[in-house]
Amino acid sequence: MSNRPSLKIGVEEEYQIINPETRGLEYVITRSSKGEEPVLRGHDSEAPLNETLASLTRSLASPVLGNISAVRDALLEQRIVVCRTAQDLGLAVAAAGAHPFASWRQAGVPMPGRFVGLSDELRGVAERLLVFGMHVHIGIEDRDFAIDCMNIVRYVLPHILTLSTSSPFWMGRDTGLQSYRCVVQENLPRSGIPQRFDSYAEFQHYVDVLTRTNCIRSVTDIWWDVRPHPVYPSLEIRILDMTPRVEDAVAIIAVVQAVVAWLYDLRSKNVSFRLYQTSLIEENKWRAERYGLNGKMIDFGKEEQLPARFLVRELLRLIDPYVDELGSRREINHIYTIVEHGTSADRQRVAYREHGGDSNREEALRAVVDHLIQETMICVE
Amino acid sequence: MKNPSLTIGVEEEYQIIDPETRELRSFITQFMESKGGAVEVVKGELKTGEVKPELHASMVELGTPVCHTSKEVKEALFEQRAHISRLAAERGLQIAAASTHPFSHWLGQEISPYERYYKTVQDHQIIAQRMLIFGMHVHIGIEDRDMAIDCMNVVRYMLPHLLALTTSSPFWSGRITGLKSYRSILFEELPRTGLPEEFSSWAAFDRFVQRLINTGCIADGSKIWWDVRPHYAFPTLEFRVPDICTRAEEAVAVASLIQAVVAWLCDLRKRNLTFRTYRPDMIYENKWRALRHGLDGRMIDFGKEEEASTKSLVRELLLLVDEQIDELGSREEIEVIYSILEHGTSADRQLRVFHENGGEANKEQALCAVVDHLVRETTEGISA
Repeated sequence: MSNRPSLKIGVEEEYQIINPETRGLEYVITRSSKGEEPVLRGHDSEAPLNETLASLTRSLASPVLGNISAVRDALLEQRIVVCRTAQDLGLAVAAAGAHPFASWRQAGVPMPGRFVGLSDELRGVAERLLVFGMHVHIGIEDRDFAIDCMNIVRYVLPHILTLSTSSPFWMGRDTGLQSYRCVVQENLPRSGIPQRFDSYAEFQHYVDVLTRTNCIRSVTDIWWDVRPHPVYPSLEIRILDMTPRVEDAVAIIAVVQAVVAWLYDLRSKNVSFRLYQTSLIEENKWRAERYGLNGKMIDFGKEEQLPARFLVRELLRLIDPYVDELGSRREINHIYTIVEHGTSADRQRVAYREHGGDSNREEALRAVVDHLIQETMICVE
Repeated sequence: MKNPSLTIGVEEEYQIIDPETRELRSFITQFMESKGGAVEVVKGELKTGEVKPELHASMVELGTPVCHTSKEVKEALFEQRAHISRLAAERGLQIAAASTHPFSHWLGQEISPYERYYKTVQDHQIIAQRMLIFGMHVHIGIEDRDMAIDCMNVVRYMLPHLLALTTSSPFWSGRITGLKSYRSILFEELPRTGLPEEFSSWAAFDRFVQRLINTGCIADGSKIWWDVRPHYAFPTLEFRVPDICTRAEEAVAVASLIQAVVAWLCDLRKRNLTFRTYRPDMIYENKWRALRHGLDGRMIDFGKEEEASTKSLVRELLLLVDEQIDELGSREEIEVIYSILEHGTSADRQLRVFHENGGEANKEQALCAVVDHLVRETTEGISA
């Protein structure tokens, strides 16, 4: 039996830097595929970047944090620095899975981060990747337990996704989905819910074969919704949309940590959550993308559809015994607020409708951007 | 195990084109109401199937009857294309066989006026609206359902090879996508698409379908849209991975190759052998390469764990099924594959026509030239 995982937390965020006049995207703080370090992207790769923002971006480390209150402090501080720097430059910041109307096809829109880091190979799918996700790392030092945990945690990825949805608009249109970012992301190869692996050795073999046959340069070219991190001893959850409100992000991170603590505890008692076929889990992911908290998801144990809100509350009960020990009771409690009042995707639609909706489309979309900026930058005040 | 009948049926989804604008034209309702449309066309022994609507009103679907040989498929498919082109011509329209239209935009396309398509759009929203793509489905008769599942598991390995031979969707909304089959990317935005997982038996597959029905994910098995699936109504294994071939003889060749591959797998099985099964996430690497580079790239031989040119891997597949080709009497039809290997697929030809007509510098005319080229090739060698 493996040692108890440290359950340390690391968080990576991606930000939209917005021109407050036009509400268009001016820059993006995103990740390059190489090593996943934060990078600033402007309108095209040749144009000189704003040096202040660029050097700030380079300093945005993702520290490894011991507990959730340290995460809150670090995330808050990071966002405050980004927001203040942007403000000083006459710019604004939004944290959401997609920009409501920016079109990747239009000149003057920043290049998606990963595109630049990738070879020409992914052309045609990578150029659309103007999406923003939050990556959460949970420290699991034992690599076999990391794989075990990855297999099982796939089941709750849709539940966690419903809490973060923030990309209902795409290129100026209501997509009808809560997280269109997930759809765009899955245009990439090696994305979505991973298949199960019997052991770390099997995973390593998979990586070796793909590396040897020039499919990937390293594990960093694997973009699954959850993956063992190539460098850090952690499991990395990548399914989440960026959330405008920092307290939503902190609460969701707390859930991810508690889920891993729960799975470790089960494992130490020789129990395991049941494994389901990837195709079944994908049904729930689809429902989470499409309807978020407002829909139903499937309890595959009971083989029954239940409201997503009910299933999220059930998940909270399952992880409840670990919450106090992890010191995240207050943060987890905030999830009930999300469950009750909805996510950013819901609020964006409200803002859109309140400003005239389709009959006043351009203005309504700008109002959605203002709403996102307001929710994101509230931390500065 | 009962010997499979190895019958062949081919369904094709065509584009209805306005010859003036070269845009897609919503016309399915008129086709359905027309006399020659709903009525079956009889030629000799073979009955060409009915004109059927698809999601978008600018699509029209036709299927061959159940055929026993490649020659029958050829006759039926040629007749089917001649028939639909005649119907279109009578109304001043044209038909094109390609998996995407070079420039018609999905926004503003009419949805076919049927309850089931409105429901598809309601359920899948923007994803359904973007599904302005056209496919070819090949059915091979495998009556033993456990054998169909066994075959589905194994044949997943060859799906990228088949896709590479058929790519016909390099353009999307007036842009060169950089991919040979952009349709494959679009289609996978829907749930229950792509390469299926492995199933241990028909019972396991049936249980899976029942589960999805019980939990309200699907109304029935027709809503499972994998690249290969046991058909929910016919005793067939249905191959849905190919792009539609612009040239009819290439479609016949690919359908014949699929039949030969299934025959080969059944023969292996009788000798207590099987082709190795690989994880879908590994097979997907080859699918990616097929949709990205078509025949011009390299794919992976997972047995050797080595890259090889896609063309050499397709030639290898042809050698593996060589015996079956003679047994099935499809040598002549399958010969066309060698010409595809030499001259490329519809995607390659479309890109060539685009560049020959001025390319990006003369984009609108160049794209129109591609449409004209597609219309021409769709009935090439077929007397209308």
